[in-house]
Amino acid sequence: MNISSAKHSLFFFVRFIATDIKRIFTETTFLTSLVIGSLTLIIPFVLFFSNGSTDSFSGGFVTAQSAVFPFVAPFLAALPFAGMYKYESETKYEDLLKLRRGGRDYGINRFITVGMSGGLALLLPEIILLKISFITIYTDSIEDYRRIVTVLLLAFPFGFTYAVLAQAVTYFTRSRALAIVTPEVLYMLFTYSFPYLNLEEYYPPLAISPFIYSSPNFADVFVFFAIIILLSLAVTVIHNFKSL
Amino acid sequence: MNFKYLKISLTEDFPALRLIITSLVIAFAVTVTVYKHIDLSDSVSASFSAPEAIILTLTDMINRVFIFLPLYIFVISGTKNVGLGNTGTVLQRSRPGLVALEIIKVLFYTLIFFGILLIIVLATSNAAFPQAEDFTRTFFGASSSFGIRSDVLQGTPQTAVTNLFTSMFLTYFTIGIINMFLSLLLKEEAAFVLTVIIGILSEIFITAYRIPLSLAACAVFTALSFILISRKNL
Repeated sequence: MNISSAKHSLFFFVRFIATDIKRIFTETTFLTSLVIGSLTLIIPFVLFFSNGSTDSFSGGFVTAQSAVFPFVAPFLAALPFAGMYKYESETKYEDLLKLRRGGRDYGINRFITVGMSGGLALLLPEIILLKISFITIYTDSIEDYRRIVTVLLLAFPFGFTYAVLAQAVTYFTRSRALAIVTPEVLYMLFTYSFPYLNLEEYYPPLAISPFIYSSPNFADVFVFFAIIILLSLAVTVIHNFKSL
Repeated sequence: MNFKYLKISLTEDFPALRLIITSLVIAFAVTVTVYKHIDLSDSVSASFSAPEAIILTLTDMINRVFIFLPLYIFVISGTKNVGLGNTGTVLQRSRPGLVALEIIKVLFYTLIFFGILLIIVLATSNAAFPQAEDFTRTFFGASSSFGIRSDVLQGTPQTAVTNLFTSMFLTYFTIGIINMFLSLLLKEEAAFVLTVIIGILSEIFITAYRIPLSLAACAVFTALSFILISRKNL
């Protein structure tokens, strides 16, 4: 590979990702995911205040964030873009995109945008909830801000991980719906079983709303994210090995 | 009915990967249930025997409705003549013949599913709990708090286990036939979702109105076969 072709492929890489990120916001599945996510955050928030519990800012935010949202989060992350690669190969749109890239596959480039779509699908509803909580109550305590930053920092990697996992599953099935639902099913199975197996500190929803449990361990969470992302990347690379 | 086609249609879409995934998940779920019962037996200060643990596993609503039933439909819906498609109807020569063949397929995969379920449940429970000829007294006392119906606990534990497995088989087979009819009309995913909803509702209905399980299953099954026989041109 000489320098000019390397420059050329870098140009294609950047342009592909830029156009793909613009495409995320036009997908109806992304909007659906945003609406469901916002509703699962706002309805518990409203219920929390209608019960008369107006004691603290972070109480409202964190309670609403850990009520329903963590249990549907993997599905919301996988919904927008994870089945897109499969859909494009079904409708032959893949061939057009390959033709533009000189016959090479785009699975590895797509890996990044799929992850970003999942991350954004979880991060944006939380920002909407944060905005609403700032309208209703005023706060200036450090502890509240620490909690908000923790929750917001965890949302994006969580969405990235599960979206990428769902995309990796699409290489093994012929059904797109199955691939989108698989991470959610695994997540719910472990959520149901871990308390009975005495593994409460690895309870899966702790990865997105850590304040369910009193003393969360963040290092473990990021190690888990890294393992899943690397596995999915390995699957994607093996699948697209010829086109590298 | 064209029996030459039976062997092809049974072996062509054999859902090997789905069966492997299913057996892994069943093994995991049964292990978790056994752990749950060990916790329970510590808290109730009762010691269960193996048949009692099997009864607890099979009557547990989360296992029955949210784990085993979707897995069963997952296995069944992976066997829908993807390779041959409409050619299957032509090979079969008639539509009632096609439906009869589909029912034989559903029965075949239901038997495989229940074979796997039986082996895993028996092996796990027998490994974790001791054998017993009769129900323990503490189990009778605690059974209502676990949500077990009194009509299940008649006769010896072995009879109860057999009755439970038979009624579960009939219920699931009926739901599998409903899934088969729906998947002839709809896409695989839509049929899957509808069948899971129907299955959950019927399980809740059977539990809430205390209908004997085998009776309910037999009634639906008889009705379906009557429709099949009476309508020649389905």
